[in-house]
Amino acid sequence: MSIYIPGRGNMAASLSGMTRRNFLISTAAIGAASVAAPAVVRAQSGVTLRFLNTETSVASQTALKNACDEYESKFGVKIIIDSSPISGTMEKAMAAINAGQSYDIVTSGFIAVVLELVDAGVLIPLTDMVKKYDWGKGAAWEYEGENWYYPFDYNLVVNYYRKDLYAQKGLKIPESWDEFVENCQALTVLDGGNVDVGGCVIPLASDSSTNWASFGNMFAEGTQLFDGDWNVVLDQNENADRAARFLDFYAELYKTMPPGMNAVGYAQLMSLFATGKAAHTLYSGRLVETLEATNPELADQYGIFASPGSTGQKALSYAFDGFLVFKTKQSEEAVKFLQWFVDEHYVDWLLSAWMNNHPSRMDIYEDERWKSHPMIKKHWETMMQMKSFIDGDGVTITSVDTSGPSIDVRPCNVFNANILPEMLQQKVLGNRSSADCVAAAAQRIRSII
Amino acid sequence: MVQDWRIVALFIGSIVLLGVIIGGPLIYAIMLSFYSAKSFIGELQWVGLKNYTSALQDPLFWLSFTNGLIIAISAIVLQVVLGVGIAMVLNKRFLGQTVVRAIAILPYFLPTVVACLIAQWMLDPNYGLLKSILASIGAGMPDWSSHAFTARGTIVLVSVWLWTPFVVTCVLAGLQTIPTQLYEAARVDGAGAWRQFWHVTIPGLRSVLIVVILLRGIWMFNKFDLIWLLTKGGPLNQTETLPTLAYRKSFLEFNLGGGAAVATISFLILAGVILVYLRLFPIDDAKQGR
Repeated sequence: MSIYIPGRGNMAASLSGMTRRNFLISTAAIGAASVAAPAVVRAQSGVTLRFLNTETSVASQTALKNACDEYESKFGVKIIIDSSPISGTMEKAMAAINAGQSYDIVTSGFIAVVLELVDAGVLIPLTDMVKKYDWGKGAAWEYEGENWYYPFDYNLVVNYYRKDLYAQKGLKIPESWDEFVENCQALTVLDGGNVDVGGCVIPLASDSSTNWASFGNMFAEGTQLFDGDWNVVLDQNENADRAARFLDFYAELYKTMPPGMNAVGYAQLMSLFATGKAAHTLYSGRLVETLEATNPELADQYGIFASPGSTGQKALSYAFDGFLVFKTKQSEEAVKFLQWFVDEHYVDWLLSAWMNNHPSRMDIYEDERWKSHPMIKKHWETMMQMKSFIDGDGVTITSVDTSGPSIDVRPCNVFNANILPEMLQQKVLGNRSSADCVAAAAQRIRSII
Repeated sequence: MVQDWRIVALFIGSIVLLGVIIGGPLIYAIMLSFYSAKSFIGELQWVGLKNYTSALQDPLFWLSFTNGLIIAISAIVLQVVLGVGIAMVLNKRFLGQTVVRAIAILPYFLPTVVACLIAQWMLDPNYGLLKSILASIGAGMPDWSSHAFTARGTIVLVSVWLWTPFVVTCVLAGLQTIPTQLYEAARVDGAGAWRQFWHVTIPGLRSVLIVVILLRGIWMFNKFDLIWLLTKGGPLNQTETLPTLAYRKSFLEFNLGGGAAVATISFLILAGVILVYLRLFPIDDAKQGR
């Protein structure tokens, strides 16, 4: 056995020829050095970053932890990861600031949260980092002239349909509201007068899932909540007609939906489709992952399309996820880490939720490592269709909380107050006329902005 | 004398601790209600009573107040009636009495979130157990979450399931303090079961029932978790109550001042009702002239 000893070159040695004393001393020295090394590196940097992660799947947490471990071993900067559901991001971030232990980096998915944090002066802009790349429509939005988050995905709400059922019934992808209603009616299965298998699922609850998913068709119709000067125009002229027509359309679809729409949230939007209880649903790429995990047969039988308007217009509602960096005494280190992370581990991070993390950074679609992931390969057609929605001109990409002439807290307030979900409820549960529902919603928007 | 000082020190320590834990947040919430605040880290802007006038002029506030009353009163009536009934049965001697008593209070040990998830699974209109049972007898499953009556009814029923055991436990303890001689004397005087119940049992349980109704009233009126988990205040705000409204304003609409104002008004209403209740039904036996 040949052992290299610094200053002595290779020495032919045999372990059996080594004295026990020397062996023990060497082993102890190596052990002590191994244990002390990270501590020494850490002592050199003296930096510990706190990361609030809201992507709570095992794969995403593992990808993040691996990256952070690697960063610590290379640069001596320790990163403490705290994972929690996205719904409590704002409360947790605020509590940490008030406790004098602000997070340095946070993932977030609600524009309202970002704007509140910017207005409170606790975020630092990431404009230079973001401007290095091209982004899909609406992904890298600015507020007060700066980019405040580094996006990693679109939560584009696409319509999922069953290809097998479409083939059985001889249906084609709907290009208008009438065609969509006809398809949903054709696919509805009744049992004793009740809907047993729904033609579609479009949520109705007073929560973020309804705000996120239910208004693609309304936006496809060109309905505006605000004009260019932030006046509420939902109940004005053509917008009132468009919104009222949308409510009539929703009421027709509602007859084909399974019961319990008022209690449907994110999980049920996926499970009703995955279990065959609905022929259409609305969701982001996460549904494909769910189908692969729970009903692989159906994962070969689905297709997607953009939400149609009454006469062929197309729109999709969306949300985003991205990294925020907080203004702390370690902001510089946090930005350094984030830059390293997006240079070295961005693809690993995206692939940890391979379909849900639908890239908003356009160069990713050319990245060989990303493209070669087996599931991306398998669902390539869907992924390319989703890409076409965000880089073409045929589909309007918008949402309740990005409505209006620019990014602003006013549409976020509309989102948070659940005004549009309650407009739907007034129509189908309150049996009010569409015009009344639209007028009430517009009045409520005026009262809160 | 040394021992007395220790007691005084412990008492003062407890008062200070309670003041910090309970009084601190209470005072902060009341203070917040006079400000416009979007977050706990932004600047506060003094608005005086504006949050209070806005809350009191908001129809949703009064709808939430009414909903809270309806849900709390319905739940308390059912919990007390059922609780007294079950306690009277469990107070009798029968084979397996101890086991049945233990089973009867089991739901009280369930965390609310677990109970609500179980209830949702059972009542799910697409996959639920109740749907299967109703289907087996040819009946359809009602869409309970879409109608005010069934949504409120579900909240009340789940609360009855969860908290009736508390009433049972308290009443059972109360029943065991009523001297059996009173029943014997009543029987000698010719009183039947019904008259014994009204003239011996109920007066004997008076103090227990006053406390139980008071506690259940406070807890039900302030109930947040169960309502939020089951209906989130829907449909059309028909199960919105003051606690859920305060939460909605504070943490969904980022109107911390408005949410704090709703919470403060709710606190004042409850404090007023408790004062009146205790004047009408004093717990202290001496004040009842007994």
